[in-house]
Amino acid sequence: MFYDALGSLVGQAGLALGERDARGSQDARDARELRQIGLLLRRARGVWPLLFETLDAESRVLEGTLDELDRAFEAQGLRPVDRSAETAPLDRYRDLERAIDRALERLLERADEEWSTTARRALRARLAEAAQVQGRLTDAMLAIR
Amino acid sequence: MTEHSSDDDASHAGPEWAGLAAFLGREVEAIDGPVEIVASERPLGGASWETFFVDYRVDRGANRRVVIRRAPATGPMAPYEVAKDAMLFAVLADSDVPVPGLLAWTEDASIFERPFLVASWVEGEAPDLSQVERWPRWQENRVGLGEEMIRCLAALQRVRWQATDLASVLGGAGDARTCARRVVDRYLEPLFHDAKRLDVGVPIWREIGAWLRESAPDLAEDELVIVHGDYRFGNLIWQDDEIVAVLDWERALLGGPMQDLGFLCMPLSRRRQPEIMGKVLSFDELARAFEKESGRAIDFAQLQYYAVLWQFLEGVNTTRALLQERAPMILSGVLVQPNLIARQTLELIDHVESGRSIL
Repeated sequence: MFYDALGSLVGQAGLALGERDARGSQDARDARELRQIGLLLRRARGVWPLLFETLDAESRVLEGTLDELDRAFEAQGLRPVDRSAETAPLDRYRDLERAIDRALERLLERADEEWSTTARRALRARLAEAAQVQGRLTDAMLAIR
Repeated sequence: MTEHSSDDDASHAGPEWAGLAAFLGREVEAIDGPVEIVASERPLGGASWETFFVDYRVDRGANRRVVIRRAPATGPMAPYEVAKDAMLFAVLADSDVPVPGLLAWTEDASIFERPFLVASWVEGEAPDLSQVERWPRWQENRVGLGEEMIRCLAALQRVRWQATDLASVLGGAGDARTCARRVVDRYLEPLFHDAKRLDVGVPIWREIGAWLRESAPDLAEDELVIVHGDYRFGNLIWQDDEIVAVLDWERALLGGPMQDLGFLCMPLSRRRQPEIMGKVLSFDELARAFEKESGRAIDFAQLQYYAVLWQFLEGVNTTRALLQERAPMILSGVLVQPNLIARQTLELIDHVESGRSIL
């Protein structure tokens, strides 16, 4: 979600600046938003060189997560996780998140079975790993003030 | 230390201000006509309820200041129920928990655009959480301020909510597990709705929500206490080292005695100073103060659970903020919060699952 949201927020910032120009006023609320837009843009610039390799690295962790989930389902004689064949980086990332979410719904339907508990514990570890990868970007952003 | 957006030059001539002036005259001053509104300000803090500081006078007399809390048109904590604040203020007025005086309230949206309440103005300082380290009182007596916060929290936990109708505005009663599951579902349902609408996956929050539903502590209804839900600097008004008002009760609910402590101890509250809970006390200082003021022992497992719960609620809220097509205000921090909170929360769950007494 981070990668899409970055584009969305930059776009919203552009709209807000346009409206501010049309309104012509500057109260404390406007001034705060202007500072925040400046910070957002500096942070976006600051992580830009890391953005694409991080997206790829996080997607690879999520692919591995789906592989693990497949093995867990197959061991129970259940069908594997549905995947798409998307190759465009952002589309692939979105599809991976959706596929893991759907797989988790299936695990939760069997929450009282031990294999499901085990699979969810492993899933949490993989989601934490993916979050750590994305964390390289968010930590770099937080360091820019 | 609180930024304000001043509206002193506005005419206050719009129909909503006329409605408010008439309401203040009738319900607060008990006069036949409207009061004269002479100024208003909007503090910048707070992302949900709309707060106005309103100065008015009657018959050219001295100015009187009140605080108006108006329900927003929409927001992550919807529905916004003015009756909740009104009942809490009324009940807590008879307790050792300081709250602003409730002057009037209405759910009639025709008066001032949306339901609102009128509370007395409380003199004092309300340093914002993000800037508290610059507050001279904090620099001089951080531990003393922390002990005062715990004293006040213990007073809140002594309120016998069972003898009032508060459960009806605090989400309902039940045992701790029921209350925890209720709040998890209340946050997850709109997230799932947004995620489905936008066709995005939210596996981290789905899994943490499921874990919270399964792991809730086992406490009987009678052991539950009133939980403030946002107990921190920014929501407290101070005179010297004393809390003179606790504000912003919109997240209040019934829960375990460790629940508000979990808020103070959650990793998000101490990112810059991991050893300081709620920006005031070390864990040992907090535990000592709480045990002295409340007579209760710290239950570390429950504390961990409730820290996870608060992290989850913050994570869901910030994720929903990211899913908005147009935010009411652009805030750069919104972009990084879901990931930061997710990392902290998954690590904390791992501590719990592994039996580690780490927050």
